[in-house]
Amino acid sequence: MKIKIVDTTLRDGEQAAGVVFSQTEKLTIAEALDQAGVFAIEAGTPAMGVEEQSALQAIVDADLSARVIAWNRAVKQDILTSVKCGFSFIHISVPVSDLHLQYKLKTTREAVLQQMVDSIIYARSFGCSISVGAEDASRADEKFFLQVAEAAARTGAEYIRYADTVGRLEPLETYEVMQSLRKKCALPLEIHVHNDFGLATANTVAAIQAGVQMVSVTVGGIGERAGNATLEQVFAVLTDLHGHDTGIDRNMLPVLTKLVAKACHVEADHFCQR
Amino acid sequence: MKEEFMFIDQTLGYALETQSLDIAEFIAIKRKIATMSPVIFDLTLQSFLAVLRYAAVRAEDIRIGIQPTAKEVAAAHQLGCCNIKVSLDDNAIHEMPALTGEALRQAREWEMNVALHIIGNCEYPASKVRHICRIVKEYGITSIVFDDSKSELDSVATYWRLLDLQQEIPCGVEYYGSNGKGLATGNALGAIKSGVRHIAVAVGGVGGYPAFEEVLMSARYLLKFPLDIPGNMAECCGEILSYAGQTVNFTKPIIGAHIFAHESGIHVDGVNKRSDLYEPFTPETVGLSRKIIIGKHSGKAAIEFKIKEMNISLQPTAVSEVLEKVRGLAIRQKAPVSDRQLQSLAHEAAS
Repeated sequence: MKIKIVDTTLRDGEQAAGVVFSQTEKLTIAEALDQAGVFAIEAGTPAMGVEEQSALQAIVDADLSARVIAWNRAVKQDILTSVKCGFSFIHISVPVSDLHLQYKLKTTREAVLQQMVDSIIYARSFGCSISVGAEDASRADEKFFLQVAEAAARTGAEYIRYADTVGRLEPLETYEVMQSLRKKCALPLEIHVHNDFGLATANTVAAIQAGVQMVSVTVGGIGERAGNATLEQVFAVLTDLHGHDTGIDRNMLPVLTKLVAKACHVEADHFCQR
Repeated sequence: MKEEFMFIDQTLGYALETQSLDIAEFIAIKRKIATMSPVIFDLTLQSFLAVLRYAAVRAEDIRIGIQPTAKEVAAAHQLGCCNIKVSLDDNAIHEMPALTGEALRQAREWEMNVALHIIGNCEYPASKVRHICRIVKEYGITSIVFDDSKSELDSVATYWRLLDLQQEIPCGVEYYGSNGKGLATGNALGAIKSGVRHIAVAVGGVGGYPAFEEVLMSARYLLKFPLDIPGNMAECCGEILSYAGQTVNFTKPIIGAHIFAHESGIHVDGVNKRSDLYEPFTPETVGLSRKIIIGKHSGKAAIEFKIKEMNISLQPTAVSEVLEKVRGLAIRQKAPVSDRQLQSLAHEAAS
């Protein structure tokens, strides 16, 4: 089976507290990811400010083979900023758990659904390809997740990210949830998990076993708190244990690990000890 | 009985084999590990003998790993140890050497608890299972050790393999996993879900075993078993690991010093509203604390929160101005902005 790797080292990875990539580092890492053969590079959040926009524009201008994606809230101004940077692949993230809707955004399911639909239509008006991120999906009502996917599909989104935002999935549960969702979901699924219980690689692999074909990873597993699923580990399991094709050049992985470790001011073996 | 967890600790054995622990250190690390959860300690015969050269140690919570010879069984018995783990390879399962049979008979006579550690692979074809069943019955074996030290299985496969094996074999089954492919904790949970309650673990995942703290916390918070979590677990694991000559990586799940550090605007805003929006358990659960880092990914809420802590009041427009300067500074210095730096930026904006 062909598995698509969506690398988010430059977005969720850099969001690890204390990590700052320079403009040159971001471009070098993006080029190395492209050379390694990832399907997509989630490069950053243009709405963060002018410095980030300039770094992201350089990545877009590098004309890479991989898709280069901008991360956005479902906010028109954010999307416009991404379009102005030159992005044609737009990721729009909306929280989908009632916990997040009620306590973070203080909004309703209906309102967030409308906001997402409006944002997709807006981004599509610039001719962009859209993916949707369902934040905190692992704590959300499955029905609402499917409703979001349905609305996103209707409005022209290509795929939906199922985010285990606080890393509370375990592998057998992931397998069952993904097997059931895959059959009902109006869009292809991407699995995006966090490593709070040390389960990020296992959960990513379980999702693939359940038939999911897109995975979100970071080099060395860097990311918020205890990090994300690790590109190097996910690659090893998918290739060596399950015989899947990820399109990744194995020889490039140590290069990427070293590059990202250096940009994070840690030794490369810091990542191996996770 | 089946519901009761017994973790099989590998940390102490690892520390003994890699460090020169004195008897006081041996006792201290052992005691600390025992505060994590009910535990039995796997030690090799050689390691245990080395400890006993310095002082008498009670062996009731120790299990000695031996080769299948009557001589080693007798050595364990003389040390007062009634728990042994005997290593056998696939060949010995299919055709047991006479000396091995003699050793197992001797252990049975002394009413020892014998775990058979089956070395080789995770395949259990019908013929192998048949032989194991015969050995279990003939020698009164207490448990079989299912060993995936070569990381051949994923979590789903571990679950199914162990579910089958427990139905086929008339004794307990233990799970010995390995983190060769980053799946150790997930696989251990697969084992637990299949019904296995005896799991080999090591604090911090030393020696490549599933990390004790991850398996314990996952069993408690994800699988919802009523297990006690020591409130000082992070510190306790840190101390245990220092005896084993290791330090805790700052992003290590459950015990890393930095796992409750938040920087990005959305996350800081979230945890200030309600911590469970972006934390799967509170820092206090494991004895850590939350940190708000100011840097490139900060948002307005974080700046407001921090300058309020510093007793500085700013207009909303001034907050935006500070935020922009913070981001610029973080990028220029390629590091977070310190409290002092933030304070001076805030004072500038206030004046």
